[in-house]
Amino acid sequence: MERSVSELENASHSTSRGIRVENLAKYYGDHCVFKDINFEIGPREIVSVVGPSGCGKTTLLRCLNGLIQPDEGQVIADGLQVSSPRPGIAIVFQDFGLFPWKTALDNVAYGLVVQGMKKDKARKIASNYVNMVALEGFEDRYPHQLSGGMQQRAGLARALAVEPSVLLMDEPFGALDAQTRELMQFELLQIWDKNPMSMLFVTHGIDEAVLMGDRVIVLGGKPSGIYREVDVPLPRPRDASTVASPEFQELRSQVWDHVMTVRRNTSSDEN
Amino acid sequence: MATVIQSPVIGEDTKTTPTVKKKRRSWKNSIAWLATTLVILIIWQIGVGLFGKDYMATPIGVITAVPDVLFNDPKLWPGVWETFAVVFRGLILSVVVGTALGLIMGRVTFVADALAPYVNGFYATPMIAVLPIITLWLGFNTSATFALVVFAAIPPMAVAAWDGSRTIPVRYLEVAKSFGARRRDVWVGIAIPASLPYLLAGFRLASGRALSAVVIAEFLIGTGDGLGIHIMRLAQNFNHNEAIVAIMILTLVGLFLAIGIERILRRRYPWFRKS
Repeated sequence: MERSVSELENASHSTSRGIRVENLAKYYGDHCVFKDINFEIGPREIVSVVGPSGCGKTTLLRCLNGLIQPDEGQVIADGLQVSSPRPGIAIVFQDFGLFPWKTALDNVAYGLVVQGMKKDKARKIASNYVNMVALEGFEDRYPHQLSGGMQQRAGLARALAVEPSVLLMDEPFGALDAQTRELMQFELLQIWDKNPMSMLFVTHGIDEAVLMGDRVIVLGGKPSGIYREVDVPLPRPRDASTVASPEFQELRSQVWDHVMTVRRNTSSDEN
Repeated sequence: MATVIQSPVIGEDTKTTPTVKKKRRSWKNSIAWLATTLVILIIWQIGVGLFGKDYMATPIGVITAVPDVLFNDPKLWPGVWETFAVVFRGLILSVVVGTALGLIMGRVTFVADALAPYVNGFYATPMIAVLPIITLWLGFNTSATFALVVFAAIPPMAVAAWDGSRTIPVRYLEVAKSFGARRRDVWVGIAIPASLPYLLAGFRLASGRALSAVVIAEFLIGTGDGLGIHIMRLAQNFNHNEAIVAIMILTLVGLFLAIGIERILRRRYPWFRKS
């Protein structure tokens, strides 16, 4: 067991150079989802993205992974252009995206198996990550036998198991109840502190965005673009006391104001 | 490994964990069925006694014929073997071909456009209508029977697999893609398990049609020693009790194919239809 810890820490993505987004634009027909998106996430940095519904947060995240092709601009991860999904970039989905016909352990091992690892070996590695997200004892459960929080732990472990240099979080805690969400935020922070990587954290929650991010990008406008980028110089490791600090509250209300402003002039089908 | 975070037992996480419930049907649920059966059997027995002919089947006659047919009828088991060998071979071929066709149709629009009229058309054609043509091509033998079984069973299998693969949740495909899954991983690892409920529904239809097809073919071709022929001969020789016992073998196999297989799968794969 000790060995696996050092293995995880050695996989410290020394080759990682983060991910860079250059002049990204995406259109659906005549409708421009977003354009002129430029930002960079360092190899040990978390960037949160907030913005009103319909501002293209999720589309942007999919472009970063190569699930969707941008119409203009490019995404560079670890020095290479992203044109299709590849092992170094993993996604955690809002609705977990677990396969109902696989046990928790096999779901966690999925990425490894698909990337060509032998099943036995993949399971062994996956079980380390199952422990990391505190799912031990639930390896043989099927997703329908797990609560939402536990399903997302599995979703997170599945993404971590492939040792990505870039982790894309698509409103990962949005489907969870408030308590579980808070718990998972701190747990994710702890995991990241042990094994930091580039992370894009797309969320609806302004508190969550500030708590997680080294920077918060406020997306919106018509067409959507980067409205503001707010630095979050709060010290790490962050935990529950971070949220209580006056600095946090100050940053939070700053981001809140930006989101409210941008909300007024964003194309949105929801109010 | 140093546990990074507290166990999920803390917090509300575990309380929503559903336990696997076992539904037990109480004996009360069977009362309606038992009562109906009893009434039917009594009316049947008395009815035949009052108005029927000597050779007509009665419940008591059928029950007493069971051991006789099962153990003393030299033609029964060879007939059962001959008939179900055709059914099972036909079903296996139909499941493989029908599933493959349907899955491809669901994922590749071009193939669906090309094949949909044929699959739907064959499905709609009464199978008995094509039997004379099949016998012209293949002769009056088990090849023709086999061909009719396949003709009957492939379309429902293909339609079910088609529906199944069209309705695979996009999220599953996205997850697979995001981890760099190859085409083969998606077909085998996702399309088939995600469509399994549809495939089973298709198999229920296919197995029922296959049984009908085999009996129809045996009746109309009229040669060989299959179970269908055997039933026909028993009935024509006024052995109605024995004929009903033989028919019940068909019923039991049909029930097993339609319901038993699903039950087994449900027990083996607890996720089934719980997604």
